[in-house]
Amino acid sequence: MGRSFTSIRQGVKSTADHWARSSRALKKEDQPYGEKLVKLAKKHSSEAFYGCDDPLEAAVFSVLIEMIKKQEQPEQEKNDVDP
Amino acid sequence: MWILDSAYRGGVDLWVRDGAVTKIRHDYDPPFYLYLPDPHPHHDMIGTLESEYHAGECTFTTIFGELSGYRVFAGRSVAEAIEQQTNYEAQLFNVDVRIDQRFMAEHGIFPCGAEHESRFSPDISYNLRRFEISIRGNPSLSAAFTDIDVTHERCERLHGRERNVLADLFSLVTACDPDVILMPDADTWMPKLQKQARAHGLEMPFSRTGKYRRMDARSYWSYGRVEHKESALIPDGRILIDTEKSFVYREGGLAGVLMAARLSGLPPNLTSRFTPGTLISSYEVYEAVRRGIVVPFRKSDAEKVRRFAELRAADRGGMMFQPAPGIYGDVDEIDFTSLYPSIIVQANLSPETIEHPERQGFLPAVLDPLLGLRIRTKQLKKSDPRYAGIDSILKWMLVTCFGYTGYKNAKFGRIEVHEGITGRSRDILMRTKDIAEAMGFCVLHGIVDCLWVQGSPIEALKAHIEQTTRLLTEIEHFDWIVFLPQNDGSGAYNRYYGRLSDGSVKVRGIAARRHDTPEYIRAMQRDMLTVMASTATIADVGKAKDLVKAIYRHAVQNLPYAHAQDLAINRRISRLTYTHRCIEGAAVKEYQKRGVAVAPGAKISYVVRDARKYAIDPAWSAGSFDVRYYRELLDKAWGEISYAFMSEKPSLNCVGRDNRSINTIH
Repeated sequence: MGRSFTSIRQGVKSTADHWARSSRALKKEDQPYGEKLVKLAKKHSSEAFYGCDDPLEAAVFSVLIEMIKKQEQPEQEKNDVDP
Repeated sequence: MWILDSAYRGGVDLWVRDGAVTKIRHDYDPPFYLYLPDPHPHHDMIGTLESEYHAGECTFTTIFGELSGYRVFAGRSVAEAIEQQTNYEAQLFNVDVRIDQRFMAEHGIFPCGAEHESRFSPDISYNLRRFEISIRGNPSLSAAFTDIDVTHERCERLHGRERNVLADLFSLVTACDPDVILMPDADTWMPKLQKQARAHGLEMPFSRTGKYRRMDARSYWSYGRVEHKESALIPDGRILIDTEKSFVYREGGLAGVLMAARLSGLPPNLTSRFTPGTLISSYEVYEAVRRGIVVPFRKSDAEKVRRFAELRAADRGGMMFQPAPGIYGDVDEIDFTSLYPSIIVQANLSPETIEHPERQGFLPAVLDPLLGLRIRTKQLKKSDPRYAGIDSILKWMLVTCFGYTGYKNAKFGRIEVHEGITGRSRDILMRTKDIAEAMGFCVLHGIVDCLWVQGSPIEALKAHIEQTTRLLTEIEHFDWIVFLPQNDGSGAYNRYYGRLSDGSVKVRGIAARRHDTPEYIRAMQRDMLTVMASTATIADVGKAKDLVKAIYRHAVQNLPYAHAQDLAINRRISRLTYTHRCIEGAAVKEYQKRGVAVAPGAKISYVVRDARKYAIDPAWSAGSFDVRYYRELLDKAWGEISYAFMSEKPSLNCVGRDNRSINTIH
């Protein structure tokens, strides 16, 4: 049955949980950004699993991909897309 | 020579069916093999083995190559004494191979097939007299046999005083002289049956010699959960199948049990009681012995010490692409046929080929014919449902052969092989995704050996994938499919349902498919899916919303009047003591309070009477239930279905590499 240790995806989930908890400590107006960050971290955790060995590396990879996507999108679409 | 049963009692007994069933006894006392890396310090021990156990020098072949050692005519206790005395330096072989299985493998014979037949033929011919016994009552509670249904040439109901019922049953069995007895919960009933027969001074006629072999009860881990196997009384010369508990029978029917026997060299009485994992390892053992390769008693090819980062990089399981939850139209599922075993064969992965990739590996050599047989039965079952049972057993054996390579005690397993398989499978799924995207398809979801795509022409994609990977694939077309979200809103890997092009519905991971869902809730979801199965497009699914919602309302309204038995939750328990107070723990306590023995892995069936007070009733005695608790379960099941109708949300566009939009709504 192989060995069991925490998968990258599970690792990203717990990193995202830490970030979600930390977000609650942010100022009220900053909290929505914290929540967005949590969603972005998880968005590509499955794909990151292919190459990344570290959950934090995978979470950062996921966030950066979505940030670059948003940066390159036409102005009017930026507000339409749900992270 | 059609072998119906086999056993070892000082010699090998084979029950052969040739018109009548006759027992043939063979004297057989095979040795085990001993290898000492440095025999000199053990001079005295070898001398004793020579004088006491006729030990002699010999050479023998392992999967890694030839070894010079000794053959010793003794049993397991001597083998274990050698291990201790040599401080586990000695390597031992063929110590724990079943002797009847070894006899058949060495003589090129096998159970459940004529001599001229191939073990790897999908056709299995048998002419066995069947006898079905169904005892009315709860096998965990009842010990009285007053009402029994019997099916042989005709159906009969034996009813009345216990002594008369048992006497009638026994005389029927004696008169019919069946080869196969099918009996739900046989392994629970048999000890009770034997006890009552003795109490009434009757002789139980199930065994053809009057003797029974006993298999002990045990709880064990299998695929992340605890299973429980009850003890069994196995008759001589006749197949007795517990149709309720036998996984192999449930999946493969009688043909599946017989095919498993033919492949593994074990009698059907055992194959019906074993898990697919035990069957595949028994198959490997039979093949090893047949090929003149000795079977290690304990593994000696331990994994070398590796850094944690190295492990993390190498050992990470199957590849997955996360789906965006929602409903999608015209989706094709591409499924690799027996991917992991195919990789073992194609990449020549075996414990001994890690260091010597140029050698023909043992594992690929023995899996190749099994894989060939599976590919044939998968094809045959499409036009002839008689092959479905055999196909299912082969599927399970091949699925578990992969897991077995990573099991620490596997005779022919090695963790590096396990990693090699998953590593290659990840690359295959990535390559498949690249091919699909390059051809303009949109990849919606992927999990280990399956990919869900939108686009066309699908036949061209299939051909390209098969040509590039040299692996076989199957395509299933969904008219529409719903990928469900996880709690955090991201797509779940293994929870989806959709309508296939033949009008049937394929479901995974939802209430209708889960084993512990109460029948009342399962029926509601099934009715909803039946309505949805009649809709061929996403637009039509939307139109069915009112009809489906009416089923939900009806289920909610009628819930307080439902039969308590229809709300029974069936669970396989994993433990007997629970650290936190929970419903399952309360159910276990209630069972114990009522004097019903339960063990980890056993199935229990209970109805929640009051969830807040953890008040539970075993299903057989339940009269009332907690409506609020079951309403929550009902709503959860409804949520899985209503997700398909949430089309008021903004639509998502799946954009392929060529920037073509493919229509999906969400």
